[in-house]
Amino acid sequence: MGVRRIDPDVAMRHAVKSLDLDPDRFALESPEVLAAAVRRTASFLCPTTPGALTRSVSETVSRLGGSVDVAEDVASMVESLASYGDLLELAIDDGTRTRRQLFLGPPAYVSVRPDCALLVGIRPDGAALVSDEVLSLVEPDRHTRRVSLGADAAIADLLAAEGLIEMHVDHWLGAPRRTSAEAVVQFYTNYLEAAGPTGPIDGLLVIDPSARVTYYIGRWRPLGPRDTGHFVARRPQAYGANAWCFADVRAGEVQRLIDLPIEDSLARPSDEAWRLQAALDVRAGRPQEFRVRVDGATRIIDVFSPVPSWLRRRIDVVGTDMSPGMGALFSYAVPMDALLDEISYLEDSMWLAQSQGGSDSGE
Amino acid sequence: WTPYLEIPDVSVLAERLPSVPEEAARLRSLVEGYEGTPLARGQLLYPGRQLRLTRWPRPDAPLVQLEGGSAATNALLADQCVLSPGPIWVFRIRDELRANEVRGKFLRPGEHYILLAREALAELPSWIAPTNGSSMQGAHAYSANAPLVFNTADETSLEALGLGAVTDVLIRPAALPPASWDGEGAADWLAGEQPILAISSSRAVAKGIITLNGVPHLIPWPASEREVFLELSDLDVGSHQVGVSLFSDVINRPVAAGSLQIVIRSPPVRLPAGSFGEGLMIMASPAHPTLSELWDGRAVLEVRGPQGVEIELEAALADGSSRSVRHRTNARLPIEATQWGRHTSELHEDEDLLSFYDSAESCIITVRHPRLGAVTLRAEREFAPLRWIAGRRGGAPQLRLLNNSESAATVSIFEFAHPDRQIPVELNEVSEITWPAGGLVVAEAGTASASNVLPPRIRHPTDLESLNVRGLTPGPRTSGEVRRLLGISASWATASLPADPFAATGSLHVQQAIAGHIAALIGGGRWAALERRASDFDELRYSEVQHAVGDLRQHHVLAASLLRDVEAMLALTPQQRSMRLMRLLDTHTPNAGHGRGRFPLAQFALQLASDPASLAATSESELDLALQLLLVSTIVIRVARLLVLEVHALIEHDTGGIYRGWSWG
Repeated sequence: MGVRRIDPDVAMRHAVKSLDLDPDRFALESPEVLAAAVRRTASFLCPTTPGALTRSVSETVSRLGGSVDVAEDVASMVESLASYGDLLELAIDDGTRTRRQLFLGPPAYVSVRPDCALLVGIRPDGAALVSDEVLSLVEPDRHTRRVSLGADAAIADLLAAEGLIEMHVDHWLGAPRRTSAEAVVQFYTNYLEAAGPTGPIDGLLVIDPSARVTYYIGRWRPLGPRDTGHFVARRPQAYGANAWCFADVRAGEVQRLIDLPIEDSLARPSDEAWRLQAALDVRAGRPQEFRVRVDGATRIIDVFSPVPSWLRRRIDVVGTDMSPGMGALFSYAVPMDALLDEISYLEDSMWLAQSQGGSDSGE
Repeated sequence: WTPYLEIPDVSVLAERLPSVPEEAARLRSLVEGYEGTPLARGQLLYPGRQLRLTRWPRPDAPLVQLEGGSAATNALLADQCVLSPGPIWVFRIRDELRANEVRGKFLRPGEHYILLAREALAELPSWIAPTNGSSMQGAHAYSANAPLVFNTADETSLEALGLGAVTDVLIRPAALPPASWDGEGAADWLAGEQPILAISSSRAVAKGIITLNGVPHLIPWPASEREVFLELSDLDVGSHQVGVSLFSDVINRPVAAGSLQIVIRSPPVRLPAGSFGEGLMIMASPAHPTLSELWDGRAVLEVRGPQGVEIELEAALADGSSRSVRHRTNARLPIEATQWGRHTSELHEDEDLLSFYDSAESCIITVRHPRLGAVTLRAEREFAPLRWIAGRRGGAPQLRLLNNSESAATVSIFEFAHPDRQIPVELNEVSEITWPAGGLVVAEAGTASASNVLPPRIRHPTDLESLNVRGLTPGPRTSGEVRRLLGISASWATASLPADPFAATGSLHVQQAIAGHIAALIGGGRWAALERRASDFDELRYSEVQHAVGDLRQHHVLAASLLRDVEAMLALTPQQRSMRLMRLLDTHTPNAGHGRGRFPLAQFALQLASDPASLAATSESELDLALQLLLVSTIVIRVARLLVLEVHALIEHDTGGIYRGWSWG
């Protein structure tokens, strides 16, 4: 039993190594280390809220050897892991009320090719997802973990022996059925019209359908007295983050309101809200946009509005997250040969339109 | 603000004190301040379970106890499961949802707290005030918004309250996130991990003295640093205290001081049934059910998960070789313990499972969802020195005795018609017994015994009459006689049931007959006549029932009030109905003597009237006390029995207890 003072650099290397990562490859603030720290903390803390998880990780990682505050990066990593499936955002009734909290995703693998799988999920109480032997085959990349073997290797057998369940790629992606924007709007409108009348709601914020679709943050505003129509909105709750909802508004007053999700009870509320807003924008003749840029042999897709987690997961398979390009909310790189498929997917699943300025579809 | 208590997981004591988790697996637990029903059997074996307290725990009452637990185990729980000492508890607000207890009872400038105090606090600084709209029995709640700087008066006030102030030093876990951290004075790590602490101070520090479990270590503090890092190595499993005293160059006493409690704990055993942090979880009561408990409905499962999501539920029976039979169905989450009976019934209706059950050695329950994963619970057939294996020979049900003991076995049977009349029988040369009328078959060898319900041979509809109880041996109206009947009921209730549904039906008839017989014995002549005349009360006139409840007008009013309330009580648990019944008795018959003593008599009477075997674990002294009270205050058993039969008649589907709506868990 001993106590000794150590240098910040030693403490950092100790932390990275304790998270089963190589301190010579990954810095403490790197996305891979933050992802591992979030997973470890979640394994003890879940069920919990994104805020509590972010704070717990930030408190131990921040300021280590400097003044860097990683809270924003940690929050963003919590969001990425919830999108990816390492964490699940679920509505659980605790006997007094239903709350959405983060839970541990089931230990599983998703085969993306016969010789390559993505690892997802977290075991409770700090337990490792895989044995040391398999750990050496795991390649962390931002919030993802990939296992690749030789082309003829039986990756499914290897991972099943680790106690991981195979999650079919379609179940993991969880993408909604492709349909028209009009059908999506009609689906939610039907529910909205069947809802009972709602009293006044203080603090409701709506996405302004007339605001510029390429500036997401700027689209949020309170209701005004001349607002009439159907709006994607967020309403304050007594506890927890604001709830996503769809509101029928007349002359600035909410008449009816439904909380999201509706279509899939396991979906994240924001996923349904963002897809619904994309559909509303299409119907209003102002579809949301994406842009394609050239970067050497790869193409970078910039998206100007938030994308649901099922789209993020798809990108985890086919592309790579990038720092957002100028004015974009989200950017990712795709290999040249996958570009046309990706463009077509964005156009079909979210009805996004390719912006004309400075784009290069590689055609 | 509502206080939640995380109850202990006693499964960690399995190696050192195995009797504690063993008792916790089969007994319900009582938690001080939690006014719901006692927790189902085995609930102290799951880490991380939080309960909402409705009353602040009393200082003189043990925090956690096992109902009917041994004195040694309850003394251990009383000793080890305690709140931090009061009379004030400090909770630091971490976010809009949560405030964690600061076990060190100190406050930091600029932070926000909730204080709970046993007594109302007086002479408070302006930044501590009673909370609005938050009150609970047993404690006064205050909100404390600590100022950015504590002045002398603030520090004096805190000291007067028995609280401390920490101003110039921050001690926190660094680098590797700990297993838990209350944000202030306590953190846990797992065995084998090396905690790293960061210590920072707003004062000019030249050196620090760090004590680890009282042993001092001098730590140099470079002049340029505001924060230093410490590595603690080779900490054993258990609690460790770290003290920090910081010194400047010029003053020979500490300029800042603080402390941190570190707990090093073994990683909990991971359960394939899931945990509270996962999307799916199976909870069993008792915690580790055997195959027969699961099959007979004596164990119930609860499946936690997101509301309304459809899952696949699979039951797989497997024998000692590689043969197995599966049954799959879909269900919506969550599955409450009260709904589990439906799934047990569904298994009993599966012909393949039925025919395989008696040779099965285990049952694996799997809950599966393509996105939430899968969790499993395995129930093994218990090893027993004596075991009955059910089967059929020539169309007749039979039992074969497997005697693994070293003693010769004696066998007797109690027929359904006379369930307390013992008939000695001989097994044939291959240790089998067939008995056309069927009944409870008991084998005994040395100290071992095994009982099984043998169904009758049904070749003709009139053979079904052998399932009916014709009578129990008459006995005196004494507590001893009631205890004899309780013992018989328990024998039938705990006997293994073969898959043949006639066995379950016969057993049910016997247990219902015993409950009715006990009610008749205690309730007196007129009530006994009523019990004899009707198996349920639908066919009786209202006035007859009222009259049989009692002669006095207040008894008639009580019966009328009860019958009016029954509809509203259908949705309640049996325990909640006990509270309602107690209130009705207090209102209408306050002098009847049922309120005497500390035993909850209304619940006891309802258990006796609905499921006598559920009282098997009650201590002898409590049993005697309660029976003496009931024999004097006979109105209680009569109204209890009336309530049991009314609820049974009005609830259509429930197979959890011997009467519908009366599964005591």
